[in-house]
Amino acid sequence: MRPLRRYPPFRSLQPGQIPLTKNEMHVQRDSFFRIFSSELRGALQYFFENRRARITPEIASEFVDLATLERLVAMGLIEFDGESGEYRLDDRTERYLDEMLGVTEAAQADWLVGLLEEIRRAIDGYQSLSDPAKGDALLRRVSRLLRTCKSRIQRHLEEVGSAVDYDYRAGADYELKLLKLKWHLERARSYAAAVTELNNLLRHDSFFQIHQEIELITLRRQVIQKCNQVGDGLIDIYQRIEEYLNRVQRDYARARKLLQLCSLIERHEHLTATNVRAVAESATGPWFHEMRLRTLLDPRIVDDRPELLKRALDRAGITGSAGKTKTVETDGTESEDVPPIIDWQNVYEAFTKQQTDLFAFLAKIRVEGRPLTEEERVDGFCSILTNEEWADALDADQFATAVEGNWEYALIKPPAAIANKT
Amino acid sequence: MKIELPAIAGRLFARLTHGDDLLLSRNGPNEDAELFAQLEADEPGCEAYFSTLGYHLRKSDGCYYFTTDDEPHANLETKLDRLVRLVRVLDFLSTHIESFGEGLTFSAATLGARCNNDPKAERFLQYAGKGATNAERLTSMLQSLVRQGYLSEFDANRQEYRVLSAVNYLLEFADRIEIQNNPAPEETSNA
Repeated sequence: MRPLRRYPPFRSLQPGQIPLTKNEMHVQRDSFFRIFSSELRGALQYFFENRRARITPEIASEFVDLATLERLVAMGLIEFDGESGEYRLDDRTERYLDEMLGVTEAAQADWLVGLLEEIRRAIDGYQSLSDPAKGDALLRRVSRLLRTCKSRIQRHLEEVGSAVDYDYRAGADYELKLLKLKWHLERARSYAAAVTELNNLLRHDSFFQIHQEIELITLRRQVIQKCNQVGDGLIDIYQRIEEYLNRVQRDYARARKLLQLCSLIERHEHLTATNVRAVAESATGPWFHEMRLRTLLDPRIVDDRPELLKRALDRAGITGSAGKTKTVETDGTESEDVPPIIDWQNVYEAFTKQQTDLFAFLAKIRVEGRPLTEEERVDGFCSILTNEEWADALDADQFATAVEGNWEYALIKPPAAIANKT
Repeated sequence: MKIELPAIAGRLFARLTHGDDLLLSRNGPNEDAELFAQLEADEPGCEAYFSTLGYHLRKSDGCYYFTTDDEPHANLETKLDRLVRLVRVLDFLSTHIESFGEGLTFSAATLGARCNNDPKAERFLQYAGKGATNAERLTSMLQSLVRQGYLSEFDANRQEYRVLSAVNYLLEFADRIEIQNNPAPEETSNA
């Protein structure tokens, strides 16, 4: 039997760098394939693990019997490519298995490196050929490989992104998280290198400049475009990984401090034969509220540190200073706020301290930051005029009238102005 | 330079640096008034003594309190936030209690009655107090002021409170704040 390529999960890492994850992956993979019936399980796993290799009918017949193979084809789990004479996993099945076994496997960029090698081999083969009929087959092979690149390159980026998110959120072991995130960073970099290599090959290789078949040109253009998009996406992923790394490191440092504190407390308890929990329950001692020394602020801080006060006022939402404004979308319906209660006594007192007439004065009044409505203005005018206490001072019989809009009204001056006039 | 230990130093330090009540009022309850009088008599001595320890004894109108230098930034912000909240409470009380100020006695029931059906006051009580009803929120707010030494319970059965001199500290703080409003058309004070 021809030896098949078996891709180790962490091929480019230093030996022994993440043994735990590697073991975990094997366990996970073996147990995952138990969802399939026992006759199909071995064959499917074999096809999945050798999904990058060429599996001809001869090779397939050596590890799976013909009946099972036909059953797998009939179920749509395996497909037979008559043109190249190869069996391969159905694209959807492969994607499903990839996703289910995903997190550790998803970030591998080996498939792209493998495809690149195959494209290069096909190009070299084409260039060294003398028979044009054989050359057509190689051209078709290059096109097929480019189509595979096009369909997988974006999906792989998304898988890397989701694997990063998953490994950041899942689990509680900070060191493992850090290790995994660093590993993802390395993997994302190697994927970026492979994408750049593919991009350079498509842009600069003489093969793609000589061959001007429509299909090849279109594919080349589409894959170059995808490479650019993936490059941009990878920058986002780098930033995300760095942010996650920083967060995990910060949390880890905090957790270490807490652990250190716990051990100090335990040591203190041991040395002094005290129980900190019991002390905390009785709540006496220097750590507790009653014993903590507290002071107030000097009011001069308002003048000395105006920026602090401004921030405090901003936080309390009572400043008129400039700040970020937020646009709030409303549905256009009127608010159902309770109308404000207007104290006409206060309004009257303010009126007596100025010179304009009552109706004009009421136009300048503001309640809750808005002017009075026409109805409130007329109500106020009538309330003040009909109040028994103020009626004597105003003596409405002597006033001339004026017109404003639809209203004709008495020109009522404040009592002080009347007294001055008389 | 020789600094003598004032007789009231221990009591004063314990009174002004522990718990929530950090102000010593001239008309304070219990032994506060007596301690205030003693402090007033030996103010320079106490001031010099505590300043060597890093505490500055400050006097506002009718009250004493301590401040320290080099407060951590986070403490400053927290204290300022608390002061701004207290200024809002002061504004609320001044609005709803006629001639609110040092020495005034007022009833929580009367204040509660004034707040009922006043949407603005009810909104404020929801912000400042805890409880399911307006009365509960008002009580919790007033009790908080009692704990902080701005009010004292005058008659617990009738829910009457007395305003202490410490409130002048808040007034002094409030007087220094200038809120810059956006330019608006000419307007007259409203109801």
